[in-house]
Amino acid sequence: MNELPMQPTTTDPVCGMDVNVEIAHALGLTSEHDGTTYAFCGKGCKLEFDENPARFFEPGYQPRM
Amino acid sequence: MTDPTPDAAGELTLPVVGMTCASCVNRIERFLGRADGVRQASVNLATERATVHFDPTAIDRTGIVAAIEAAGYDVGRDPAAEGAAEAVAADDAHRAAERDELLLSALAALAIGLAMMAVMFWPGGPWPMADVNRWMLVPATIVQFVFGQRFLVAALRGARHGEANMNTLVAMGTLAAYGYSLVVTLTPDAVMAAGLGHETYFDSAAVIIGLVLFGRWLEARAKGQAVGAVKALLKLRPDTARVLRPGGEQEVPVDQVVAGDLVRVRPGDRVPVDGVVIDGASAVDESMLTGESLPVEKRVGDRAIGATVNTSGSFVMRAERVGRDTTLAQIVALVERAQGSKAPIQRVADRVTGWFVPAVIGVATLTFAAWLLLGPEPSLPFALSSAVAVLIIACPCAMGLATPTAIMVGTGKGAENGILIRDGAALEEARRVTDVVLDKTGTITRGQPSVIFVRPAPGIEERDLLRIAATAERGSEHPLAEAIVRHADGLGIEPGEAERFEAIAGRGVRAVVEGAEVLAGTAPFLGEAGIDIAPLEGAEVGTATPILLARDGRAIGVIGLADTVKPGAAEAVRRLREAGLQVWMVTGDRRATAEAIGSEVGIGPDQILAEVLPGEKAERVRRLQAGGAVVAMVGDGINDAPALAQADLGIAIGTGADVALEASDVTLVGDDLGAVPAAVRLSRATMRTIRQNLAWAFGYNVLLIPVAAGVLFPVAGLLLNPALAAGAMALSSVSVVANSLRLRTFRAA
Repeated sequence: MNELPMQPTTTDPVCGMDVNVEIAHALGLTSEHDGTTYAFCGKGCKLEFDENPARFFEPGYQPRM
Repeated sequence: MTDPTPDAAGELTLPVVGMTCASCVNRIERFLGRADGVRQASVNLATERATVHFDPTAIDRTGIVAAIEAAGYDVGRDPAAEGAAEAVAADDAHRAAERDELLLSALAALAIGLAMMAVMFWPGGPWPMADVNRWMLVPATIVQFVFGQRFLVAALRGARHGEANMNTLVAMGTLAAYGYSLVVTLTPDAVMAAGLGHETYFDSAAVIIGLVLFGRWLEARAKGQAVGAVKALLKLRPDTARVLRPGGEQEVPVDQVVAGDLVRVRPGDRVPVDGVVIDGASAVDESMLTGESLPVEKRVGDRAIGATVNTSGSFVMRAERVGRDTTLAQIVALVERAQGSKAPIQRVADRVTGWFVPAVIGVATLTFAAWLLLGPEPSLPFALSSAVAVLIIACPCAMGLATPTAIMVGTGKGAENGILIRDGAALEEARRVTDVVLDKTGTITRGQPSVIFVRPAPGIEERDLLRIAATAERGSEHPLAEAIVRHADGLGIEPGEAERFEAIAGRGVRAVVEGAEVLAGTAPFLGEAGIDIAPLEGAEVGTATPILLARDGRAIGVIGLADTVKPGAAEAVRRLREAGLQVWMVTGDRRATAEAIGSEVGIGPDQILAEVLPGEKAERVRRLQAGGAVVAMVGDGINDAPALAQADLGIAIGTGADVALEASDVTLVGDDLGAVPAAVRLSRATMRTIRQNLAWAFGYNVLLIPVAAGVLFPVAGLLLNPALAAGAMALSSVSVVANSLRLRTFRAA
């Protein structure tokens, strides 16, 4: 039997989707901000994030698709 | 490309590459909306299309594409079938061109030779022989040195290494005929003075070359058919893979995929390399490698095998084994090695050929000398034509074809049926086998548990019990749990959602199902939880493993699971007996369990080796061998490796993915036991064909050499014309090849 499948997932701070970290790294869909690496579901979210990372950490921000 | 521009309003639909979520959609729509001249833009994530309404006077396609690219996306080309799978095709074309050239040369040489014959033997021909000879000089020379060049070159190369082979014979025979004719043609007066006629052998040389070329063409064609199995396997390999790279997915040639790359496999794609699923899920059709007819579920953590076909889902896998390490590449290598290998019986044929050629040259020289000294006048033409006939008739090409064609066709046929034969020696061993030892688990049985009974407690419906069990067990990866879920699924029972699922290793699971606490597991597991299992006890479970179920502290039923016999196992055992083999079963199980399985497949108690530890299996095989048996061991190739190696013939049966291909002489790609008797029958048929072929080739050479030498001439006036000798020789090659190709009609079932 296989070991329990552990998907290393994280949450896209822009849209709130679950993102497979390994895939995001392979595709270059990650960004550094304040010493933390964030992974994104796609180019759109990464570009939005890179333009203004601070926006997604404002208390009122609701990740949505 | 011109855009459709109805009225003053333009509308354009473009494929957009790289969108993953609704953020992407918003972003592209925002960028398009900002562009001058765009009235409305709508982007569809599902169809990956952007539909843009625009003012054609203010913006064109280029501008719209630029806006999408500014947003960070690419506009894709419409899916067009772009050049792929051309390498195999080019290789095929190359070989086909070579074959065509062989055939054309053969036909041209034959046509020229036959035309020359017709002219020479024209009844009451109006032309003087000396003139005819001069006309024929040019076409004869072309045939001898252009179409026949390959023989001369090969003979010369062989001579430099002190080797004499079939090419030596053809070159010597035709050069002798051509050279003699050349002398007659160029110096007619001197020939007349020597008391010889004007007859030449240009036609014979041309026909010989034409016929031998034709034989080569047949051989090439047979080869093409025999290597079809390898080519069919290679064609399974996809040409490209969609690799995830910074900046997006890239379609790259499959050779460029390295271990560690992430590869996306879309619906309908072939899996490019071997690897592990890390995201997504699908079912994959693995029938081409394993013979398993149902698509196999793939989830995160499962292995995907290169060359298998994805069905409806999409997943990302991490490449692990690429290039020569893939399962497919290993299978191809195994088949190629087997086809190129030499059985001991072929080495005999090679040794014979080694001394046969010089001996034949010796006989030809003796023949020439004997005719010259003892023959009737004109003795030189008789001596020459007889020597040429000996050289040609002895050509051992049929002998050279006897073993390789049979092995190629036999192993190729095996591969088609999922029987991978390591080499020619394995074929020979398979023929000698007297006893077959079958491992129980994974060979006779499926090697995984199935539900064999469901016994609900009074007041509980069977379907309810299964639904509750499947719901509770769904989160577990235990084989028994999976068997229960599979069984429920097969009955169309949909499991619900379990809450607070907890697995206790080796004991069972605990979960909240439909608001009630459910326990599923061993009797002690339920007992420790304070559940009265008395209502479930006492029921006969036989060899099954019981899983007990309780809901809210009350026992509700028991489900029995056991490893079950593969369908077709009994039939396979019967067929092995029909083939005259002793069939044994070896297992680590207790004797009672082993005998229960044995009786299902028709193996009696005295042929069951029960309670054998894994390490002892090889010893049991050795004991059988000590009793004079030639043993074939059939096992799953991993824990049976020592026994497989000890056996005279090791047959690994398995999925083709993890099986230790190297440990066995024969690998059965599927898990159908029926392939074992098929493998034995195929080996016997192949070895029988080799013996027939050798008999054909040897008998033929041995019988006709004295006739060609003219032994029958004093008694019956019988001589072999060089052209007839060549025709008969080519026919012997054809019979050998055709006899081998008969193996293609072999049926595994």
